[in-house]
Amino acid sequence: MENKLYVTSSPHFRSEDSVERIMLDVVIALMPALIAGIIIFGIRALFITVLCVAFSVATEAVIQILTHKDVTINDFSAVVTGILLAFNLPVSVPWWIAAIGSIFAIAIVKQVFGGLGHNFMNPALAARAFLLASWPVPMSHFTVDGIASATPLAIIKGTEASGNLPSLFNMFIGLKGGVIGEVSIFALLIGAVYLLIRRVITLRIPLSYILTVAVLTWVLGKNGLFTGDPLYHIMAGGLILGAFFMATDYTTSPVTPKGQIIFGIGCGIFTSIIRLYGGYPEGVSYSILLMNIATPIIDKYTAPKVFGEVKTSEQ
Amino acid sequence: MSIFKTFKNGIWKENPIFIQVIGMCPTLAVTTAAINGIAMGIAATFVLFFSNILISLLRKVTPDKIRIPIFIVVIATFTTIIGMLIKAFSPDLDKALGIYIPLIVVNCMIMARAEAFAYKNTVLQSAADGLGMGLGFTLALFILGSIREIIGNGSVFGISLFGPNYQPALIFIMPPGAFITLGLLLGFFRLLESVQKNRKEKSIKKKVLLGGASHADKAYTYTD
Amino acid sequence: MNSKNDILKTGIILLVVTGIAAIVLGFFNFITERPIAKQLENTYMEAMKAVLPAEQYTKLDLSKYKFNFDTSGDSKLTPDPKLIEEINEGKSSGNVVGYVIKVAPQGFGGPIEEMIGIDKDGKITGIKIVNQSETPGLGAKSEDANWNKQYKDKKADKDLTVVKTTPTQDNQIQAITGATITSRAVTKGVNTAIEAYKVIVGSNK
Repeated sequence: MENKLYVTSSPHFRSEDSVERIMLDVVIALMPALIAGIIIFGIRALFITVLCVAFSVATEAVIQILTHKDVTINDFSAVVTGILLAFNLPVSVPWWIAAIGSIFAIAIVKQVFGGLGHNFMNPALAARAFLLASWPVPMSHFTVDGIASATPLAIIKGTEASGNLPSLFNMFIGLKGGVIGEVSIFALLIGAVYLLIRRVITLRIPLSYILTVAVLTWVLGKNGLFTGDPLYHIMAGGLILGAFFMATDYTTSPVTPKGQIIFGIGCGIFTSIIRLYGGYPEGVSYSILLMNIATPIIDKYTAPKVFGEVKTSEQ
Repeated sequence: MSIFKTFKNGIWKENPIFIQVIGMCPTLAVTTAAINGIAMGIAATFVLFFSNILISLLRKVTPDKIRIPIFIVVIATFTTIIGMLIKAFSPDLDKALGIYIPLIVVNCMIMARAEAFAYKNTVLQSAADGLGMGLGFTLALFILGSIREIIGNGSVFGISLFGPNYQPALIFIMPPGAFITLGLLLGFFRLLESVQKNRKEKSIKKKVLLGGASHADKAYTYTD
Repeated sequence: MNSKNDILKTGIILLVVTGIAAIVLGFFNFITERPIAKQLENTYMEAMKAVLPAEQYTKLDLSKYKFNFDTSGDSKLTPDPKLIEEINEGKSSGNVVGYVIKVAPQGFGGPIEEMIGIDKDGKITGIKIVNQSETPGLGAKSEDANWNKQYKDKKADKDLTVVKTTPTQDNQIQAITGATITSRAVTKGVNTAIEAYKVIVGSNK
């Protein structure tokens, strides 16, 4: 299939963008958050990340060799999946859970469906959902400096944990319970700005996502209408990580501008509903996965008209 | 087709789960453990066997227009009977399977065999088909149930396999695990199929090539 | 004319088939009716015996009692009269030995039906989960007899609470790891049973 020659009419674009370039940009953008994770959680955060990357890349290579395909581990896409998966794990997670998650992400979610560009769900998030359902106890055990500490969202929800909420400043720099990559909003925003400057992502999905969550959590507050704390909901949990780095994944989000805004709003609605009314304290990963599945239909209904197309009155 | 061939057909070549992919509802719902899979399979086999026989018997007097309601009445009757019998005489089995027994009524495998086979074939053939399909179904449910129980609970037939330190992947005994396992199994059987096909084609090609070339080869060697 | 006849004919055939099916089902119902009733009674009796040993159980008429509980405090644990399903009085050699109270609090995956035995001294003699649809491996562990043992011998004088660590106080129950919602629901059921017990004992005096 790859060697087929396509004949198309002009105009032709020549783009500097390539998979490697884009993925490398994402890796660079994720570095500040990784450094913040290592500072906050210790060297084990680095160990888990390296482990996930190693297993992701190795799985990709092994499967491509077994199925006699070109080995494409140089395009950094497996590296990105590995880092994002590690970012979605608590630092105290056993190493074998991280390894199984990486294998699942690449083998089942990505390669079985045809490899890069064909997966219908974000591999890292699907793997996280798989791990959370399989080993719920180690997957929701959060520590800071070796001391068990609940996530701010779990405290807000009040079902699973109790404790004092960290201050807004601590939440911003990342001194709170959570998974490796989500805690430091500051570091994540540095990476997000880099991606925006490099034009790897646009603001359409992240902004519509975050604004929807802000409005809904403010309006549907615990003590009646308009009593919620939107700032808290934006900074607690994985919203920033999810909105900038995972909801914007090219393969699993819509291509049309209108579709991207619908995608972001959909993610925001699901996240707010799960956080406010669902059984789990956090809903970012599930809402992105749900909207991943809806992506083809969003694309279908927001596809722009072909230039010069005439409306037929035959129907 | 001989009766034995009909019987064998259901177990492997036209396995209702792995090849025809019908009757998915009970397949996905009950296979949380090996024993549940087997019990569900046997209960479905019972219903399938008798409903196939009866529908085949009635096929001459059943008008085409109302065949579906009649199939449903027959299948529902046998399902209700087995449900009552299990409830009355085997409370343990009832506890494990109770809520799934009524599901047999909506098992499209039974409906499909009634429509596709029993309605068109003799009683003996239909009985063999019912038994074969039922056993194929049971086998598939057993395989699915065992895999899910081993990974998701670390045991098979309730016997612990890996000791207390094994942390089972709970997702496999939850609904998503059913889909993942079934998907991987279907993929595996397709792979087997294509490997077999390739081998067959290769051996045929070889024969043709050898057969065609051998004379020329000989001639060549002789002249050499 | 022809089509009318056709309708009549198919109708009659369908009637005959369903009629035979009804007769067959009636026959099997006749055979299995009594064993089924007996099995149900047996499982119920066994569950009651497990939580409160007694020779004989009599079902109480719940409409005779007024269950007005104090529902202030943590709504996830406070007793709720709506949860009470059935109360049986256990008697041995003519004397009341205690009560078996069946409640159905809302768990994570649906109502959890549980039976709680409380003896005449106001002590919990045991609890048993009769029916639940909680997550396998997590909330479903609420059926585990070892976990249920925690409730045994608790005094029915104050509400029980759920903690995630080893209990330090008498009225604390350690939650199942990863299934706090289920643990709280079960405890809420037990608290409800305690209140119901108090109402019944109070009105008997």
